[in-house]
Amino acid sequence: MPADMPNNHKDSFQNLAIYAFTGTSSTGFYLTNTLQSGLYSYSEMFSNLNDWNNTPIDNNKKFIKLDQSFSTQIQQTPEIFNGQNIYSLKEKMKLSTDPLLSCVPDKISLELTHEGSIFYTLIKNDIKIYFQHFLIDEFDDSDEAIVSVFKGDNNLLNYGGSLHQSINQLAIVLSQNSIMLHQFA
Amino acid sequence: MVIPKKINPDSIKEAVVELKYQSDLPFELLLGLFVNAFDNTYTYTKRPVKTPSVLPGLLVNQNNELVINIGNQNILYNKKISIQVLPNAFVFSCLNQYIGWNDFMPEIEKAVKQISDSNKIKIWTRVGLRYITEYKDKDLKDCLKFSFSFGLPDIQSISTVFRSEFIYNNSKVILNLQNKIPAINQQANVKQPEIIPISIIDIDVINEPLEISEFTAILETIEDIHNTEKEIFFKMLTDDFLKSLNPEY
Repeated sequence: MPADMPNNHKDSFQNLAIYAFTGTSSTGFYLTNTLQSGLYSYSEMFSNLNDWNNTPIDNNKKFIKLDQSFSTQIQQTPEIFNGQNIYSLKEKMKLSTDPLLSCVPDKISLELTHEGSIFYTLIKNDIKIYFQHFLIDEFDDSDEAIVSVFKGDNNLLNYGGSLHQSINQLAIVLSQNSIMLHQFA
Repeated sequence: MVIPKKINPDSIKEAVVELKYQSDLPFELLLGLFVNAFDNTYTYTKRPVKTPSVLPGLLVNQNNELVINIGNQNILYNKKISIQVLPNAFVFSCLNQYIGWNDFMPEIEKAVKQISDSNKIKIWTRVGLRYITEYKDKDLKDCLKFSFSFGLPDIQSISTVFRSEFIYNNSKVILNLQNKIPAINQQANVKQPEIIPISIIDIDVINEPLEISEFTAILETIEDIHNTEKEIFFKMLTDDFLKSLNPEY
């Protein structure tokens, strides 16, 4: 700060520096006001500002719906996965549920099939995704999946392979339509 | 101003209560103790923590590399609400649509009672209540006593985002207004989605730092900030818009 700067400008300069440091206009405004009013010490001001974090919003609603739907269907049709450990099935479900949810679909539902798979239907913008995750009952074998993607009447993808590869293929097609998909969560 | 008890439609997209706590025990022990403290109307599930986001244009993990989960989100839910259990906080929200404060608050009270009865909470340190209200195809200029203008009067904003932090009734308030933000609206049986403007009123009321150890005191604090939340929301609305929401007093 120049030594010959008038006092009132020095204040403004000081405020401006802090304004730039905080990086948000509203916080900067708050700081400027409190500085000029002289109500707070610097440490008090920063302790106030550091805690202005938003209450987090809930992003688990769709996940819980799928979790509930999976549990209900497993209870209603126990013959599909006869004898298999339900905890382990639920954990396997999450391998496909979470990456699919990461594209923030407008709608998503799942259905258990008698082939021992989870059949997901997703809608995202004008894109429809059909994703079938086969829960393989072998410890060291990768699960398999089939995926089809449609944009209106156009078929963008038909792919069958390991769960991992299927999600990769889906991610590629969605990224071409400006939709991001995280891989395995 | 007389604050309405209810409006219809409420257009509430999200209602969240966050209670932060301190405990003497590490979280890995607390989690089991908390889950055990809840009655059997609650279901426990865990969700893998998301991987970091991928930059647009980059393809994800094409080399079949192993991805290791480093943690989980721990969730309890019943027929009405979900509770996220975090190392220093509980986050309560409605399972589907907003169920109204008269139903939401008793659910929070029931859950907090079970948490408190576990005797593992040393103190409650922060209460936050956040309501996000969403209006489709509405201009907030017609709904709020607020003018979205700045020093260039010739400019007509297509969309506007405004954030303010202030103290009100001894609570910290973070107010976010988003006016006419373009959003994709996909309707059933219509192939092409339409772009419609969405407006959002997001009011977050926070009480902290707190050192509350009593069950009744934490409930009173939640009720207090709910009243503050309502006061701010209804005071911002224009009289005509409030009338259109069919207020019940």
